[in-house]
Amino acid sequence: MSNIAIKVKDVCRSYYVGTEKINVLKKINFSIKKGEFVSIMGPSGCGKSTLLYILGALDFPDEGAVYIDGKDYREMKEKELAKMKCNEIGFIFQFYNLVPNLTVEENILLPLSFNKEKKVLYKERFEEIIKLTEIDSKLKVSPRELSGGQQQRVAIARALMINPKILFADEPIGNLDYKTGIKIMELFSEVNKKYKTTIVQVTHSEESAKYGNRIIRIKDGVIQK
Amino acid sequence: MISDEGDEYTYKIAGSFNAKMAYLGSFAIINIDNMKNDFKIVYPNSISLKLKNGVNIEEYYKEIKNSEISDKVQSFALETEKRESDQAMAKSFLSIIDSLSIIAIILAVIGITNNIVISFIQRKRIFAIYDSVGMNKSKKKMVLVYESIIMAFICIIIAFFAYLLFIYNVSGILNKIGVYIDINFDLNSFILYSSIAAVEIIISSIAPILFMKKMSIIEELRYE
Repeated sequence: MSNIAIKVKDVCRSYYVGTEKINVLKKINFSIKKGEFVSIMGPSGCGKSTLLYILGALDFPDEGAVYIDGKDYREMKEKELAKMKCNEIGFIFQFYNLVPNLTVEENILLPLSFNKEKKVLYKERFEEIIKLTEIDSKLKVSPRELSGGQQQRVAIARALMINPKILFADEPIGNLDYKTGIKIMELFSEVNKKYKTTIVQVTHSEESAKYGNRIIRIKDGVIQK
Repeated sequence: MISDEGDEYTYKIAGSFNAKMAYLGSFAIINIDNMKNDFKIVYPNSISLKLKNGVNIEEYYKEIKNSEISDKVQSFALETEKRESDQAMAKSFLSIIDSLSIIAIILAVIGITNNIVISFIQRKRIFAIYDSVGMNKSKKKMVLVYESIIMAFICIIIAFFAYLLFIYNVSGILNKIGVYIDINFDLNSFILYSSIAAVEIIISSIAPILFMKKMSIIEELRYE
């Protein structure tokens, strides 16, 4: 069985701004091993978030391929891809993206709504995750009543609920104060070590990148050696 | 009794009759002098005749029509003709109510479609979140369709009670304006109009489904 969690091969992505074509990613190649904690860094607009969304199958490359656990997700059917997102991938966003009209508990359990098999096993996992993310006292409140740090913890708990093989985080502490950011990064580090979860984060912060064990630097759509 | 000038007159009811005089409106037979004095009506605008038993109606009708009287009278009508014209009048009145119902349904459906689209636009981010946690496209579409079905169901329940309220009150309101029509609960009409509205509401969920196809998940998730 391969030790590669993600393989990126000749990935290109471009956007049109008006009539002008902007090549955001230019033939990107790299691999991430299982259990690695990788930080993607680079200046604003260099394509790091675009790359992360492509890795997480929320966006698709114009050319090239992304292999998750050895499978090119472009070759999967839509339902199969949704199942993979549901079972194997967790996503954490800078602005948390919690559902405002659901309680914290409902938000955490949201991925299980689409996953009947895992729903049966949720109780134990749920208890473990809410203790790990320290939000066990806030389960019945609305996300609006929480601070930024607490909302990010809920987002992390939601992502961890399915016990993902890979966790993608788009500037997870970009909207948080320094102290809360450190705590969140420590939480990521703990998740990486405890569950052997592969983590890929996009960050501007050198300090948060240090929590990982590898940095991929991107500039003008290409990886810097 | 009240005259056109608003003067009130008290009359003693001497008896009642069933002469099939009209299907719309209420009538009283009064002395011709009282008609002239109290109501200032010099000439009646219509005269109804009740024939004795054994008189051939058709022949009598022809006889009058060919007599001198016909020169002084604008039109003659048999009871059957009068009944037909009254029924036609009632029908045209009901068809006005019918077309108002259809206009109301069309306006309501436009309103509901507008609400469905706006509600989707406001929840685009939530649908993007669902996508990020593994909800597939057909499930997202089903959410929108189920919402429309529930909305149609709620609309039908509200319409049912509004219809009942209308039925129980409209006859009284019409009586006040001098229109005497018995209006009853018509289950078939209710089912027909409810079905049309429900189908239109469910079809209107196609609009957000088309919007969802064009939605950029990244733009919804990436920016606050």
